[in-house]
Amino acid sequence: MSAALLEARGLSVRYHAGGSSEVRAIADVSIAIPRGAFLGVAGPSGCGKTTLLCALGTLLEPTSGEVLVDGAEVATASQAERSRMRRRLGFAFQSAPMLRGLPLWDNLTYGLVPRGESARQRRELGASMLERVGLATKLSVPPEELSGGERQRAGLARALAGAPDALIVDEPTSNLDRASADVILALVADFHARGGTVVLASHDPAALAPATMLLALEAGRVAPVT
Amino acid sequence: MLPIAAVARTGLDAAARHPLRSVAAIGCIVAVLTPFVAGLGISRGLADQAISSVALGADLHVTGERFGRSVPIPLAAADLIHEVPGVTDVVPRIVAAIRIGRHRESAVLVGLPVETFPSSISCVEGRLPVAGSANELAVGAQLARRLGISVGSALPPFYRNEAEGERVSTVVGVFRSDLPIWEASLVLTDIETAARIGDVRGVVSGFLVSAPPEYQEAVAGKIAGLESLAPGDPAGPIRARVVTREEATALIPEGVLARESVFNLHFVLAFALAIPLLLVTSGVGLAERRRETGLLKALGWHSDELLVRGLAESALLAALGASIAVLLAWTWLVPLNGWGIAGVFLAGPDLSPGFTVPFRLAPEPILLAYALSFVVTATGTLLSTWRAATAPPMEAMR
Repeated sequence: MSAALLEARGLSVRYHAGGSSEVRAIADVSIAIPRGAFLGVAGPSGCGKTTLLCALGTLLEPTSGEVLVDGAEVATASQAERSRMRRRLGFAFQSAPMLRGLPLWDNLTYGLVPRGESARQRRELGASMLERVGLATKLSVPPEELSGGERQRAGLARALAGAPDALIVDEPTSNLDRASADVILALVADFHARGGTVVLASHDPAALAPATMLLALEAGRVAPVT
Repeated sequence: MLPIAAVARTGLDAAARHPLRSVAAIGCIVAVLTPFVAGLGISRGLADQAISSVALGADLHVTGERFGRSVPIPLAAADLIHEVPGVTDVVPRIVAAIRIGRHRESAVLVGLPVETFPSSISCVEGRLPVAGSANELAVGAQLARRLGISVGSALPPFYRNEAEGERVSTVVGVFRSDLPIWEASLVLTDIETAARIGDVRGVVSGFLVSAPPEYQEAVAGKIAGLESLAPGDPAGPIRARVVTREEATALIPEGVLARESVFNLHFVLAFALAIPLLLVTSGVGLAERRRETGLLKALGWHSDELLVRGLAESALLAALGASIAVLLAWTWLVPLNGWGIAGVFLAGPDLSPGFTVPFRLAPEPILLAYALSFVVTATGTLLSTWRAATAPPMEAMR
């Protein structure tokens, strides 16, 4: 079994493959992320950072290559096994999509419903997570009433709510002012300090500073780190 | 709460969180199910009426046929039938389909000897025709109301009679019956008046025959075996057709699916159309359902948990849709008296029936309505959920 918690082997993703509008998002990316590591993914816009994170998070199927979660190959896993893998990975999307009309605490902890957590437990957990991201007053507010920055903080809180083994974070500070960004980065650093594995993509040098590994992408390919 | 129950609960919440999507789904269900439930209610009511009519009627109904077609029977055939061992009574009857009133409403003229008028009929106004009176009629209460006539009204000729010239009939009574259909369409008169009105002297439509229960089958066989009901008629023999009470009851179709097969067939087609209609009308919600499903997959939900969630949402929408449809069907049948739909089942009424439409909302059609409602919503909901749940989350969320 591989010692890496997350691993990509010769990973390529092409959108609209075979069509006239085919887009090569990433090509031949290989990386092994050991348990407890902090991988920073850097690169210009459109270089394939989000695609790489989604593939590592088992949220999309690569065109070729392999993704392994704790040594298990995703491509050959059943739907149920993939769902179990996703429960071990907290994914914070850049756009922080949420369920419309649902109170924020419920949104944050919705992933825990099938795990048997009661509504009271989830509400308490949601309140505590919102407090950590500075949104304690937004407990019962629906997500459509949040600003972009607030949504992003809530998205990170949701990724952390399921106590994942790894946190995959896409551009966590892109919509935030410096003070809010610092709060978010402190939370990520805290998760890492407690032994969690982090994969973080960002333009922000401050966000990538705590990384123990760095991967630079350029036009979908691994580029030398400068 | 069990995890599966908590998952199902989120499906119920989803129905409330997406009011437009839910209203569109319920609207489709109601549009298709309401006429279905109302229609089956009316047909049940009619079947009940038919069963009651048979129960109130004679033990044996004897009519005549020649070349396989019904023909009038000479009145003298009553003696032939009376001679059959086991026969205790023979009542001649004339039945004629007539059109009456300014709008030529459909009605049925029944002529019987006055002493054999059905006991289930009672006059609410006036009296029943008496023996020896000429051209006296008693009219069903609902038919009288529809025609705007009362005791003392004179009815212009409604049946061609060349022999006696034009005559006017007089309404001497308005009756009620346990059977609304009788009230709605029956004109009752003495058999002689009926014969005069129809210019058919010496013949009747048929005979109502009484016999003890233990002999009825044998009596029916004997009457059917008579060589002719019109011996010596140069036109040829008239064969007897005998229908027992049991046979008449058996002629009334039973069972939800056996009954009104054409009506049911149309609704099967309607449901086949309702499913894509539901998918189209919930098109706005479809994209959102897909995104939500993708997001929940990304959060670690299993496909079967998503299907349970969709199933709970479908069950709620189906129950609401079917309940509203049943309520509206009742409203259609009681306060609106089957406006527009009664004509599908009853000859005569166009849009607004002028009598109380018989109906019965039996449990089976209502349960069937709930089941069909669930099939329609589950098909619409689960199909889109399943497709999104089996796609990679990012693809579903896009």
